[in-house]
Amino acid sequence: MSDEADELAGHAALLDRMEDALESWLRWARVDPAAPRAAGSSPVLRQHMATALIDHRVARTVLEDASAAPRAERGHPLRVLRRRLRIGLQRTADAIAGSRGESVVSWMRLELERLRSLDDPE
Amino acid sequence: MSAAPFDLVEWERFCGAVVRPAARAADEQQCVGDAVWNGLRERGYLQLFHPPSSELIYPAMAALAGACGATFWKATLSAALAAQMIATLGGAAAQTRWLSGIASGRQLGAFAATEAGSGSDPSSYAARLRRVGARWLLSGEKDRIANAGDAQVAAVLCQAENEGGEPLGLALAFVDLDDARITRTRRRTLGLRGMTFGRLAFDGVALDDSDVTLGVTMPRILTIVEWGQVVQILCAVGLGRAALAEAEAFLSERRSFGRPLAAHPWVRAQLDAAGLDLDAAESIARRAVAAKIAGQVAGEQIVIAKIFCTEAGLSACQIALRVCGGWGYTSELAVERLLRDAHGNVPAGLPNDRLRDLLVAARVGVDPWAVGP
Repeated sequence: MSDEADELAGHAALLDRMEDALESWLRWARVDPAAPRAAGSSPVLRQHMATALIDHRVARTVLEDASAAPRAERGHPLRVLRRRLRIGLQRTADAIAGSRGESVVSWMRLELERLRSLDDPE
Repeated sequence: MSAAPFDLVEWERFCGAVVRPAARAADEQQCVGDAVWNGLRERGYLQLFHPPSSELIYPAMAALAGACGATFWKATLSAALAAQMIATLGGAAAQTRWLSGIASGRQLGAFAATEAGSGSDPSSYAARLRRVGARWLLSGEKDRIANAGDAQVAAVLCQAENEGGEPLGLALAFVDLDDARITRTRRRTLGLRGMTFGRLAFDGVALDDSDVTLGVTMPRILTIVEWGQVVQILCAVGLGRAALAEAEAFLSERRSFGRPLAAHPWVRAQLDAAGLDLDAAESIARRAVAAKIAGQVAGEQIVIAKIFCTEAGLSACQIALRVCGGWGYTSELAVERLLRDAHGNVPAGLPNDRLRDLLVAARVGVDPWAVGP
């Protein structure tokens, strides 16, 4: 595989892992008769959850577009994707850590460091 | 009016050479000029939405949105939202009466749902459609309505009741706004000033059965409202692109510390980052619009696109204004107007914070329509 293909595969795996983390977060927050005061009852937390879902969905869409682009034209879509992943990881890690604790997102912090090393500093 | 196939190249030329230079005048004079409106009609832009199935819709909308937000809103809300309400939920008589006029641009449409005290909660709508003998009487008001000042027809979402005052549920009334029992009040707005925006008051407007559709549901309405959200999505991306281009041109000419401002690393980084965000916005916008063109209910896809694109577009305009320094704050540069216009996309089509809650609430076991703290 080319470097770009390797990178895309890595980002796809990261998005899969983030999707699992988001699903787990939503389950943890779920309100039901046995847990009427669960975290999901907070409208403020739901705003953060929505932002995390949006970040993930946008990154997934950009990944699909980058994957569909001819190899020679993948450079720019990859820059767009890295930025979306960095922003999404940062915001999602902060929001989950704020409700469930830092230990749940330690892997996201490491992924963030790795992503920052891939691109120009901002 | 031309019946020729839509010419995208000519359309993009028209948007750049005629609509964009007239955008400042539309803002200052608070109306879209005749040359722009007639040119838009003659080139068949409005007809693209009848039915809205052409793949040219996305690039045509993008070109107009980037040239003038107010013209884009006025034209596209009429052709893509109001007309779709009539085409999808109106009876044959309403369709015959209004659709060809909207498609040709001889008439303008509006969709009227929100009220002074009611936004995204239809159960609180106070406007009433009451059965009286063989007719219906529409009373009450709708407020914060795009095209309220100059539309000829409005699709009015209201509560219906029988002669005894018993509720019949939500209804859509197709109302001739030239009726003498209607009062229009234009509201002043931060941006999109070329488009009228305001209040419609109905003082017992008499309607026939053919003007009324009973039993409409919010899910059905929201699938058509998605066309309004498409307007906000494309408008936001277009305004963001226009603002970045304006800032880039200004900063390339203006020198500071021995080089063009556009070459300063911090300025460059901000412009590039905003451009990357708009690229991501376009990725998701294209998918959402493609779903609508294919006749699908875009649902969550369009909600996500509406939130992300309107915020990315607004952010790009803010960055463009900021990097232009004090000049950005003046009306000498278009970025000031573009930023004012970009704000209009965020609350419209359901405010973004409300949409965020709709996106998540059901996933965590909360009813998004229930009243709560």
